[in-house]
Amino acid sequence: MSAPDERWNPDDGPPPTDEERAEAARLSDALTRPAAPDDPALRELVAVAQRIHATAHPDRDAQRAVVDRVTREVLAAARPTASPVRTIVRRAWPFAVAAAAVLVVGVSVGRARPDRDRPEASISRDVDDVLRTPVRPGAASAPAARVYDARLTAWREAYLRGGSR
Amino acid sequence: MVLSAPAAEEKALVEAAQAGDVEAIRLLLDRVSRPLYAAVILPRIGIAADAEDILRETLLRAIDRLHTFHWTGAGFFPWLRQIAIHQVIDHVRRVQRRTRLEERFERQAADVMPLHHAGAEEALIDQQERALSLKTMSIAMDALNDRYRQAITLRLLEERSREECAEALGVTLGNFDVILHRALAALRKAYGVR
Repeated sequence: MSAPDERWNPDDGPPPTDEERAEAARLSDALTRPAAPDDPALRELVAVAQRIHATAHPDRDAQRAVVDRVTREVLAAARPTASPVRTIVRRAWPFAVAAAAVLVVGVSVGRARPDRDRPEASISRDVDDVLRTPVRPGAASAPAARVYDARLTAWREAYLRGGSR
Repeated sequence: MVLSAPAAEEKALVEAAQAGDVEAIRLLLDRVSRPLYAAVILPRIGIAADAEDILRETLLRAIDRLHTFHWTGAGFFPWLRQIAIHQVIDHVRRVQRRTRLEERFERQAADVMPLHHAGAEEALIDQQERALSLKTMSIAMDALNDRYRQAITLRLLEERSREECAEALGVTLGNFDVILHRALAALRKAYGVR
């Protein structure tokens, strides 16, 4: 086995500075640790590396554990917010249906069963009956009423004879 | 439109959850949370602790806004996925200096492309989302020069030790660290998400 080349290969870009070497060493170290580094620049590179790893080598057991834990926490902490309209509709619809049913039945029964004990009132009168009834002065008869009665009697007699006024 | 049995079941779960049924919410989240975390959030964030925070915030927001969800043929997952992507954008804005990734995330959030049908099984969602992540990763890797790509492949995809990687590249450990550092910095620019 040949020894590794200590010299920098120009194909890998410009020679690194000491600062770059130190940063590369910190990255190499961070990639072997479970906790993410605090340094934002280093953290970004670790994130890229872990994105690749998570895509290519999903740790399904660890992922399942995380999801189960988070889901439990969320369900314990959160109370779902249903929309007010939805809530009202959901809670009130049985009452609305019942009220509508009572209204429909009530109207139907009311129309189908008239009150048999009360005689049916007619909105019309027999004209002849009215005209044949004699006009009698009442307790409140007054001269003006008697004049009116006399005129009405005359008119009625003329009408019954079939003549004109 | 006639729904398939799984889609009808999912729709019924969503309606019950919207009415405040906590058990329905639990069943709904159980169905989609694992692929959401493993195949959507984690491959876009990398750091497990950050991804866990994003998952938590996504689920909380989803529950809080459940009444705004309107059923479509794509089902519940794409809606939740979009919330997650927005959370990822917020995270990137907080922790990253560059804005290029933000723009990509925003494009992705606006690009509603349902991959899954309503009522899709967890395994199918996971498989399709993961295929998308692998494709994105592959495109980003192809943009690197050969030596950088080789360093990442050996160390992160094949999970070889630093010593093996350095030997494969014919360089010292210190030089390998520099190559990997440069490779990841280059990949960070090329590695968008989808």
